[in-house]
Amino acid sequence: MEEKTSKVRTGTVNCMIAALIICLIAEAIGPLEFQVMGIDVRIMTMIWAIIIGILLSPHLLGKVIPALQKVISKPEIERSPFLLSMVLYPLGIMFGISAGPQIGVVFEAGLALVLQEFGNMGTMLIALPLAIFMGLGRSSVGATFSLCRDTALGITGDKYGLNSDEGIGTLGTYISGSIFGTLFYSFLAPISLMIGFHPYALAMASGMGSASMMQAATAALVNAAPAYEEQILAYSATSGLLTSITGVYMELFLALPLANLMYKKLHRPIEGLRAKVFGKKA
Amino acid sequence: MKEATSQILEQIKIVIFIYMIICVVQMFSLGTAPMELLKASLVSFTMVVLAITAKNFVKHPNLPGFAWATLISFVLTLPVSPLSDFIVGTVGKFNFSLVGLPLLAFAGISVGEQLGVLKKLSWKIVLISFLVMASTYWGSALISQVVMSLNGTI
Repeated sequence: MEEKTSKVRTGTVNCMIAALIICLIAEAIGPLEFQVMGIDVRIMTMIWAIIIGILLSPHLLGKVIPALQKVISKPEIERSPFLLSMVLYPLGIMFGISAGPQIGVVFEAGLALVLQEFGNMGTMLIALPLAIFMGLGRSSVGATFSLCRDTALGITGDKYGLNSDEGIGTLGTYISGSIFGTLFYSFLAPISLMIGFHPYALAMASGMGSASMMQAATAALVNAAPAYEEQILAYSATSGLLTSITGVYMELFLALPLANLMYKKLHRPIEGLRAKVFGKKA
Repeated sequence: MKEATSQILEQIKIVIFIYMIICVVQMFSLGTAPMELLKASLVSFTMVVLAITAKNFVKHPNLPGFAWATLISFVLTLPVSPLSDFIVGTVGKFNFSLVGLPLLAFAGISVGEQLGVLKKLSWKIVLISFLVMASTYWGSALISQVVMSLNGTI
């Protein structure tokens, strides 16, 4: 068994080397600032790292440069989520040491930190009604009751099965989040700052149930408001910790029942509206 | 038990290489002294070993590894901890964003697997997922902002 696994290409080595090179290139490029129609656009270093990683896919650059497929292909891609989960350990340490010494500051903000956990239900006010309006039916519930990371997959899978409408909805948000999540939050954090959110509030919002999205949102926020770095990290760390402890219970006992209730109350009127707008029954 | 041990060892091995990536990148990017990075790595790595062990052996509560790492370093750096200054003084030499950079590189690479699936995904779900991501973030931010303005934190 041992011998067999040592001969099979696990992708670990290539994937690590690729990550090192990606980081070095991203750092070499550095942040890029330019103006589009008078608006300052800033592409952060971290965004290069994500984009170069995506480009290495055999579906993209691999098609143009066949040699690349020898280095990055299926084994490497399948290995990368595991390697990602390993980077979370050193990163978790960084979050912890930002929060520990600042326990006083965190404690003062305790009420806001605890209450913002309920903000994750914001999805039901905006995303759920719109999903119903777009004709997603019962998939709306699965797709919008939470950010749909691993715990949510477990919950819908357990309750409805992943082949059910609800399951397909959760899987859809899950996959889309895996593809676009880190990029999306890298842009959303600075944009939210621009539209008037306080950096502390956004830091507290960063712990939303996915460690890599949390990292992207936090790093982008630190990048956009460097003067607040210490507090941003402390709040973000605590919020992430709170979510990882309470998240699954919130989803199971609060978010999902609430999404079901909202669906029950809303689906008839919204689908009626949809029929009127599009002139046919959905 | 034996299986858990070999899993832990495998993960520890990988983490060592990840520290090497982090150190090389930070030396390249910020020119931090190798000795400082070595010390930071050793102290941080020790806590990671604790976290990996906890993750594999403690099933109640069943926390993700990331949470264990945060929790352990959080507790060890509380002002009451005698190790606090030492840990912050050494591990603090790491640049936060650079430690997270390999994570984003791996996140980018892992997308490759999903690109084929993306074509099958309806554009509606993609749009809805963006709304889900924005509304969970803004929902929490809004509550924090209101609470903090009411009690005068900001």
